[in-house]
Amino acid sequence: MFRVAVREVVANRGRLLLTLVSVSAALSLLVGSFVLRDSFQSALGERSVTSLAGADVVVRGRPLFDVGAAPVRAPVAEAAVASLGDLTDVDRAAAFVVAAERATVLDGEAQSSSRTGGDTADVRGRIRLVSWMPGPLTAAKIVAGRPPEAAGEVALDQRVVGTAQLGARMTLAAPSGAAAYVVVGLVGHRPAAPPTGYLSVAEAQRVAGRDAAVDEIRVLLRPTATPEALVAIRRALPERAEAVSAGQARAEELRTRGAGSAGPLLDVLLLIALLSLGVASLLLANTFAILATQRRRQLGLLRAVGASRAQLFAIVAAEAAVIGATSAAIAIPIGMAGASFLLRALPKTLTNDLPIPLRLTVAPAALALVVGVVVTTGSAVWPAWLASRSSPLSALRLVTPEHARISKGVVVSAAVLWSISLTVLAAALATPGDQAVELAAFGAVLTMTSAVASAPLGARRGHLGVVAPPAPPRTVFDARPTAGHRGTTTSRIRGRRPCPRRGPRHDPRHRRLLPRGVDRRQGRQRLPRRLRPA
Amino acid sequence: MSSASTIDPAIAISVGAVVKVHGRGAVKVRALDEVTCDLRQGELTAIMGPSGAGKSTLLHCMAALERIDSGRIIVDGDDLGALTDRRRAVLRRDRLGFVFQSSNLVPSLTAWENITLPLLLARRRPEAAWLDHVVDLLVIGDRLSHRPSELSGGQQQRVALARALANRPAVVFADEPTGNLDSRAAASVLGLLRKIVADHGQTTVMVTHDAAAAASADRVLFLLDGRVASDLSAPSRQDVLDQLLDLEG
Repeated sequence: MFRVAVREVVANRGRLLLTLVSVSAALSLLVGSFVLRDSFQSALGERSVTSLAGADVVVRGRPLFDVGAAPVRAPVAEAAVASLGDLTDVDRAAAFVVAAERATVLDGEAQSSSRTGGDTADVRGRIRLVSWMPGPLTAAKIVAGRPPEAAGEVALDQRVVGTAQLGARMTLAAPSGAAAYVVVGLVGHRPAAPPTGYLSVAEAQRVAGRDAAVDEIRVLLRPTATPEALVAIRRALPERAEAVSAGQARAEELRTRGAGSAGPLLDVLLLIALLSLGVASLLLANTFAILATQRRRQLGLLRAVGASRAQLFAIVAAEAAVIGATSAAIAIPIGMAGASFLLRALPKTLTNDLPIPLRLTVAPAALALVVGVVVTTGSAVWPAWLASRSSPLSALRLVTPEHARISKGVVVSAAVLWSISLTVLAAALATPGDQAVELAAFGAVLTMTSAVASAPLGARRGHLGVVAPPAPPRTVFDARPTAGHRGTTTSRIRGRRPCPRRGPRHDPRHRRLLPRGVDRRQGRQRLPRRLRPA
Repeated sequence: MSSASTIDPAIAISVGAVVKVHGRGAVKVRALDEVTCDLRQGELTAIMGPSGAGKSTLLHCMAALERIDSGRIIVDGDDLGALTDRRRAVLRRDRLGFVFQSSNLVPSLTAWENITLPLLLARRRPEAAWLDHVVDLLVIGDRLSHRPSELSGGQQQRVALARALANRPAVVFADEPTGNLDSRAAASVLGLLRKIVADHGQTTVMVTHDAAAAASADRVLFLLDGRVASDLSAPSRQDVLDQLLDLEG
């Protein structure tokens, strides 16, 4: 049965192509949105782990007011660093100052492009300037040179260094003003972190305009520390400061960053994907219902030669499953490529300049496969059941429609449109930046137009009736049947008036042979005078 | 099934007082009206009559394609009225063969796959020697890998005939098998049908409008208004035409 189903699927290429396009489109949206969500969540998690690496407790100012997703916090007095460091359970405490969220590399030998091959960072000359923290309190590690210790010194993320070497000079412009720096160290970093430049605490305070204040104090506890350590830390805190565990701080960061950047976008994307899938499954159900109706003759033939209802059901359902699995196989790479494209094309403001590496896992692929097979098979259940219940005879009585001829113009137009759409989509994938989005949108419109233009190709193959050559004029008793004979029984069985709009009286060649006053329903018999038309 | 013991073993199909009504109310048509006849094994029986006489309905009822309203039909020892839908499907698959007016081949399958379709449905291994013989007999050996669309009408009908014979059926039913063919192809198919009956004793029931085709049968049943009007044995073409003119009357 499976072989028959596969042969049937392969034999109708036009129909197969259109069905695959519709299911694949919905599934690739689903895959793409899941890959995007995975990538974002993974990157945000990585970022959080990176930024709070090694710290056990984070001391920060209390929220002053909320702006958007992240609250604005009061600075923490720098003196608290020393007082916290004196506590028994505290191994080390270090100040953390964000000098500038976005500083610009104005000149010098630093490059804005990526140096690390596979990394997709494109900082466009912008970097984050923060204070350097020693030891285990940061994930950043000096790979060459030394940490910044004085004003005018900077340690740069390897990705922004470009061809510059240690000792290179450059000008960094922060909102508070521009200043000249010397690169004294190169920092290796995890790709999830944004491109960063590190300054000494004092220099960071100067750039940020914080006098004797810091943004956070990262605290590393001793291995012997007890839960009461947090209580002791809270007691030692200055006013308008709070202490939270690093885990809590990570969770808050994930939440605020997710809500503040692309989180809602991803939710909407997922919603659209699910809606698309729902609409696609309805369309599929309709498609399979139409196909089952169009194939009644063939299914009736199979019933006539001994196929059971279960076998007919299995054939239709297997066809659907084959289409579903094939669609999923097509949709998975398309969805992943689309997600990759979107990650590159998304405005950096949406991700807070955080590079989002593509994260490919088995889950979205498995989900697409399962959803594809379940949706297509589920859509085919009702049509398959209907097909299996049809009477073999009623199916065989159906007249196969004449094979529609598709003009070469339609074929050529569809081919040209598909070529253009695919070219535009390929160009969109290869184009970086905002233009890519416009190209992709144009490509999507073209693709839809191509699908509409190629609909006749599928419709032609949609008539899946059994091959039946046009019937020659039938002779009965060596003569052509009269109008009264033609189809009379069938018409009666179907509850129609015999010979509706058929027969010689409707044939223009014969009509003129009928004299006035002849009842067309009675052939050549003359009507009584009282019944003749005036 | 129990009724089988009361049937003469030489009788392949026994039709007793069969009534079949199409439609309801004003459009109700009594297609078969108390039809009774016995068809013997190893014979080619033709069924003739004017359009609307009930020929095809009788054939479909005998072939377990359609249920009857009353009466009894026994095919190869099985009472069709007592069979469930599933067992009727199995009967059609294993013990009956069909040739339709349109060849009714599955377009996506090759000729060979169409021929072995009943065996595929039954999950049975093809009987190679028998199929080779059938293929040789019907002269379609060089067309087995072709799709139906690549075959002529006569070749399609021969493939359909091979499919009907593939499972060594008890009875082959043919519904106007030459109706869509030109005279040469029709003569060829008819000759093959006749040869199969003669050489293998294949019981065959054929509905036809063609007097020449009916004349090649061992027996011709004439139906009129759902009843058996007359019955001729080994008639000539002229006998058939005369009988038809009488019926037209």
